[in-house]
Amino acid sequence: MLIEKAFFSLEVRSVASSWLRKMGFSCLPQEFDERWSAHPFVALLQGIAEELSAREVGPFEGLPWDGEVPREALRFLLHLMSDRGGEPG
Amino acid sequence: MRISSLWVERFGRFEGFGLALGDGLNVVYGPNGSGKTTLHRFLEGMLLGFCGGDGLPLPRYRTYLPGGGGGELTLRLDGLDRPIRRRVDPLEPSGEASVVPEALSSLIPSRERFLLVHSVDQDSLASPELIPRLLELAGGLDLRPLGLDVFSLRLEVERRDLELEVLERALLDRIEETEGRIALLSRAREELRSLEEELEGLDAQLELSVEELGKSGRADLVRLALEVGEELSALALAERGLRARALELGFDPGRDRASAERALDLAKRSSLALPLRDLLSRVKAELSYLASEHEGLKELRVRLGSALEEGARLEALVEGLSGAFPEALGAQVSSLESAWRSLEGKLLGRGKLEGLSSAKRAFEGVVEGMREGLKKEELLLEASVRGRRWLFLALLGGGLSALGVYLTNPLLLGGAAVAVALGLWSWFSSLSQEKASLKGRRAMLFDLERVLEALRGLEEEMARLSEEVYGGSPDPEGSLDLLLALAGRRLREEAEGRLSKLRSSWEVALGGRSFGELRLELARRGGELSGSIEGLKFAASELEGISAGLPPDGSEGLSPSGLEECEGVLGDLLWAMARREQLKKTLSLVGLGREDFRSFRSPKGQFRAREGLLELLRRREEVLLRMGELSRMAFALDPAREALEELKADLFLLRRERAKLKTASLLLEEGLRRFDDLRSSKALDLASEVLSRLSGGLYRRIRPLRAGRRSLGVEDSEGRWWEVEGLSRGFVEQLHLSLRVALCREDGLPLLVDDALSGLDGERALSALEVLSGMPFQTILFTSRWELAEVAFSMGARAFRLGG
Repeated sequence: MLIEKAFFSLEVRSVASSWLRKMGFSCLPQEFDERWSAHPFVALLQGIAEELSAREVGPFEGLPWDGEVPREALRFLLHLMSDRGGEPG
Repeated sequence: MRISSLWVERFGRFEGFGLALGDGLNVVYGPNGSGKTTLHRFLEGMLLGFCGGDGLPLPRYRTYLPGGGGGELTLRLDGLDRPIRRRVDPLEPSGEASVVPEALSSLIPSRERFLLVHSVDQDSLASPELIPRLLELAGGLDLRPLGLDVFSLRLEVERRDLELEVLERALLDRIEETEGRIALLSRAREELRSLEEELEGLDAQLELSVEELGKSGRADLVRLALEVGEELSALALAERGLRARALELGFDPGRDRASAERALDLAKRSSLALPLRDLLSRVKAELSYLASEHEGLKELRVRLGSALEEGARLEALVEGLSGAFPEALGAQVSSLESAWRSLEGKLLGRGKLEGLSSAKRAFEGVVEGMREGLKKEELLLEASVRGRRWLFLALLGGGLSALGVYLTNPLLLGGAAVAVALGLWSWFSSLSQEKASLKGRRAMLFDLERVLEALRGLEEEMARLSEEVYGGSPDPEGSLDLLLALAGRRLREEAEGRLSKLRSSWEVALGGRSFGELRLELARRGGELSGSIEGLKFAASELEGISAGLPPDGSEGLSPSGLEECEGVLGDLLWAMARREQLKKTLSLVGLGREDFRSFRSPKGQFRAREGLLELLRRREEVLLRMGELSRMAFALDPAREALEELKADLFLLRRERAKLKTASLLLEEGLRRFDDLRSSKALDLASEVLSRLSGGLYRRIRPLRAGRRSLGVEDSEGRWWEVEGLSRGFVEQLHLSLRVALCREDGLPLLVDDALSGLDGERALSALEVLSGMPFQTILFTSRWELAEVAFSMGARAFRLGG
């Protein structure tokens, strides 16, 4: 029983990665609509993302932080906007 | 742009009325009913036009223009005075004749906006529902025109974050669980290390013991025993694992080889259980099918036989009927019928009937005569019997007399006796003949009476048929023929119909074959089926016999891969058992038996050494077994650690994704805030400033509460935000006025305020006048409050009084 329990850990080792793949950004379009980059609101977001990138400590306690996080978050938003299929106004 | 002057030619109560207006604040004072609203409408109409597209005055001006009207405004545009002239004339197709400067249309983009922003009355200042529209005009704070639904974006981000949070919790649970297992496995590894040390010590002690025993010249055997012992330990360990696996697979290998072999046999048979049962069920199903087919075949043969019989019978019937009642007779029925209907036929028929009646009567006479003759003969016979009875008595008397004579003359008596005997024989003989004759005649009479009875019945029947068929014209001979012909024809037709139906129904079944061929085929098929059924019954009984030794029906049996594994496990186990037995045998052969120690110098000491050695070996075996278990656990430790590392890596990735999502949410939040700031125009800033002044600094800022929503909030002096919907009417008026003042400043067009400050208290009203008088655009304020006019006048505004 002990050994089986020990082996159990092996079975779950890739579970989280697959869940991440399933739920994460892989379901979004690989390329986002570049026209969104020129959207005034997105341009504003870009400025904020750059400000956040300069921060050494993230604004969220207990969550990892580096300069790429805000840029990736902005890319994620652009993916979401593209995924929704709307036309930039 | 400002209005320099106005001239009312005719509008409402005004006719020939004019005012010269100033640049900034102008106050037109007058009590109720003095015409303030009329002038307000006049200015509106002159700037925007009185009539609609249909050429009729718009409803808001209609009451002021009964039969037409109009006037003139002078506008100050770009430093020049430009007149606007409008005259409403019912005879004019377009409704009004007007002269308007071209620049006016570009200055006033739409009637709606002008009326909303520049033409204010008491009602419009108190309407909260107008605020969103004003807000849009003041800043366009709704992001929807930009094609971006930020609200749903935020929802989507939050949804994904929530999903990741759930996953994070699951990962943390698993990490905790894995850490617990790693701790357990680490302890196992520590125990393994200590056992390894113990094993080293045991080996050292064994070496010493071997050396000690080696002195007796048995060292080689002891070494062999040690090797065998090691192999035995390994085998025991292997056996344990194999046995556990076999149990997992559902086969108890027991402790001896026979049990293991039985288990292997059971496994093999178990693997057969499924296909065998399947085969058996299919055989049974086939058997059932064949039996039913066989039964069907039997029924078919019976039906074929009966059909053949019926066919033959029907054919014979048709043939017989055709012979007995030729078609011609049937065809001639109608002609015969008509012929019999003729008088001649009737007479003939009647004659026949009469002949029959006379024959009957004659027959009756014969019968009657015979009956009377018989009666006479019976009487004669009776008389004859009586006479002969008397004769008998006479003869008897004679006999008795002769007896007397006999006593005297025997010869004479003998002759007399013979004569009497002959007489008696002759008498009885004639009597019986007469009786027999009479009996025969009686029987004949009986028969004749039956015949006569039949003749009477025939006569009645013929009379009845004649009555039925010919309506009282008896033609018994013809009617009988006719009835028989009709009945025969119907019978034949019916028989032919049934025969035809029978033939057609069998035509399909026969399929071009004769009945004989079909019968042969059915017989052949029946034979085949019987053979198949017998064969299948035999197969089923064989299969049932085999299945009887298999595991119970409920068990699923082994799959091919399961059997392969089972055979491997049990085969290995059998080999290990055999090997262990062999080794034990070897060990016993080389073992340190009592006789082997006899040659030792000190048997007691050697015995102790042997016991100690055996104890060491036993302990060594235990240690090896435990080490085997612990090694497997220790082996699992590294993968568990790797799994933990991967889980932690996943957790890091997941948390980083969450950081990304939260940052995305933050970006949207902050972006909206800044977007609002950017989009909040100067107009909104000015409106905020005006509001601050109007409210005496109580409120200092106007902003939309949430972007993407048309809701307005105000920030008070302490930085708190309030929704407009929850504030007082007086405040709503201040807010309206603030927004309109700001928009008027953007547009540069005049503000017409009709009695709109009456809802403000003195201080607020004073603040409003100060604001309005300080604005660069023109304000024309109509009021019924004299003190406002005075205050405005004191501020440098132009003031006018209407009425009195």
